[in-house]
Amino acid sequence: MKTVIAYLLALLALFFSDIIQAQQEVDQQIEAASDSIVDIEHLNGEAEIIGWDRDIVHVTGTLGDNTEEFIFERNGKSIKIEVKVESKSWSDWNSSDGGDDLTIKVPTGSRVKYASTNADVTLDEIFGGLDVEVINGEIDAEKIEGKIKLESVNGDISATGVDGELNVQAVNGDIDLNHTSGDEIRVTAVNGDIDFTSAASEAKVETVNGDINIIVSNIDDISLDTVNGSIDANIGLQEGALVRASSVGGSIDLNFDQNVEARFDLEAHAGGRIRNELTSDKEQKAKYGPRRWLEFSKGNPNSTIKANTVSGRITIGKK
Amino acid sequence: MDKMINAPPADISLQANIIAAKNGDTKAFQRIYAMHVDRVYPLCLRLCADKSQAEDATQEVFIQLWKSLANYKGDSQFSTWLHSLATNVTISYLRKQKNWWQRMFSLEHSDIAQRSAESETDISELDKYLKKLPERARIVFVLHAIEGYRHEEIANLLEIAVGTSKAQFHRAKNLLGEWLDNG
Amino acid sequence: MAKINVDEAVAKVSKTKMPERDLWPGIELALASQQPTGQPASSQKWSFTPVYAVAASVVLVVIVSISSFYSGQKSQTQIIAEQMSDDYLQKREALLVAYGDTAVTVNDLEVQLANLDDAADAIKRAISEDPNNPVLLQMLKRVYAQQIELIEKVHAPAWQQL
Repeated sequence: MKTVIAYLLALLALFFSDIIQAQQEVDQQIEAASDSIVDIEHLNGEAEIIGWDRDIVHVTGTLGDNTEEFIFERNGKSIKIEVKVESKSWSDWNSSDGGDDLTIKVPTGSRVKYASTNADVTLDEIFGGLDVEVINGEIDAEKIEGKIKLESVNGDISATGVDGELNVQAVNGDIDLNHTSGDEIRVTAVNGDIDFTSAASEAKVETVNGDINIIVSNIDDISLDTVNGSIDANIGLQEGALVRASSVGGSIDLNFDQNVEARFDLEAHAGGRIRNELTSDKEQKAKYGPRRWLEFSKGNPNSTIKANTVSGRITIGKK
Repeated sequence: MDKMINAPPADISLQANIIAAKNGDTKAFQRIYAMHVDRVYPLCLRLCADKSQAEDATQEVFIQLWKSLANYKGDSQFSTWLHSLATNVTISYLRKQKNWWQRMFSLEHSDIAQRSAESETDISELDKYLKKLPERARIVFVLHAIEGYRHEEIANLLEIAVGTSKAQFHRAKNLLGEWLDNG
Repeated sequence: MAKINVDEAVAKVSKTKMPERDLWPGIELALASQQPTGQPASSQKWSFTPVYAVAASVVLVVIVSISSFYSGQKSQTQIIAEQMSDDYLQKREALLVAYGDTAVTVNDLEVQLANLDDAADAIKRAISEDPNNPVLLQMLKRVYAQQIELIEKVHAPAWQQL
């Protein structure tokens, strides 16, 4: 009954959207497969997406003033939730129209896709994978599993209790992650710091101006690249690992286990410097020009560490 | 192709085709392609562990071959020289694939288990398991155990330490051994 | 016994296999857009990592001999870097034109691109001091790729055009 009433209200809202200024309430649910694919799209506001142990997708909350249509439908395993607003040019949007405030409960094994323009989103206990894209807004995820992609243009991203392949990208936003298990992690921030702990065996981390600060315990292959930010990495290696780090102006600090057995290949160019706190090998200087380098092996080297900077400082140290 | 011990007709025709191709004769080059593609393609397939990439890589090899023919001086076996070129080009091609991440997430190859379950006809039993190896381990194993490169050469090619090549090889061998054992 | 069964499996491996479809037409097409001794179509060169390319050295022999006649001694790496810069600038222009007036989601795109331009210049200067360093070339390529990615990411995505 409640659902029918809510549906009728939504219908009324559709017809009288110009007249009704008050925000519309929504409370609807649809039965869903336990491994549904839930596709959510809306423009402004806030969304909270929570996995639960019922095979139902349940949407509650309020819709923004300019809502033209609220779509909530199912097609086999796919569930679509979309809030359509009146046509306006994209750049006319501001947040004073309220936007939507939605709480969406999905079966915990679902795969969730979410896209919004000006909205913050939190996601909890979703184990079928995530694909989240926001333009202006923050992403907060907790206890998520599967193939995970989190992207924002302007907004911070944080995720804890992540289990799976993780891909996080922000243009202007800090990224904070706790990657508890999974083989691969990739993080990119243009202007934003990247902080994470991960047990992944393959990692790729890139910033332009942000700082990279990571603890990785089980690396087979990692690349760390920054233009002007700094890299500070605490690295535990598998046998036969490859570590590669580069910066244009930022400093590179790589810290390894005292007993690491690897070949080190380090280079600095225009004014960069190299400091070795792991062994007594010292940097060499080119006869002509500013180039410096340091190549040395520690133990019975089975791993390879390469670091290269144009004008930054490279420091190799102990964890 | 005939492999006659005294090798004259096939070999002479290969040399003639090489000379003609060096001078811009694409029909002659097509004959060279036909003579060697069945040796280049499986190399690419094992290194890439993916049919459509292997096809792309194979084409790249022959495109580069066309450009590099001037470098072939006839001082070594053409097939050996081509083989080395093919290895270089394929490794380069793999590095060029935007990045491993996009390969992981592209539609055709979403995860390793799916790849090995595909109904592509594997050349041999081992190939089924080669596809499951992590990329670097697979490349090192294919180059060392199947294509016969020494660890020093592999280290040079992949820009890693010789020790890293050996470690990756051993890891690949252990994994393959387990999988072969468990069937 | 794992060691033995791997060696056995390797011995059984077949070294010949024909591709499932005919790859020659694609190759022929690529050859048609080039000279026999290799000046490749410039758009192809942009993303090709030159480090291992046997062919690149053939091309470079041609370019170096022409360029050094005109510009004094420049290393192969510098020449590749300059070619990369030209290709990148072309691609960037084309992208920005293609996006036209599409709304941009950050308010300082020019500043960020300029920032990356400065980094590219720093790397190019380092290349001139340390020619023949492939790692520097890779860094330059990465900075250009970051600029392209940035431009693509900050233009409003299609799904939210109203």
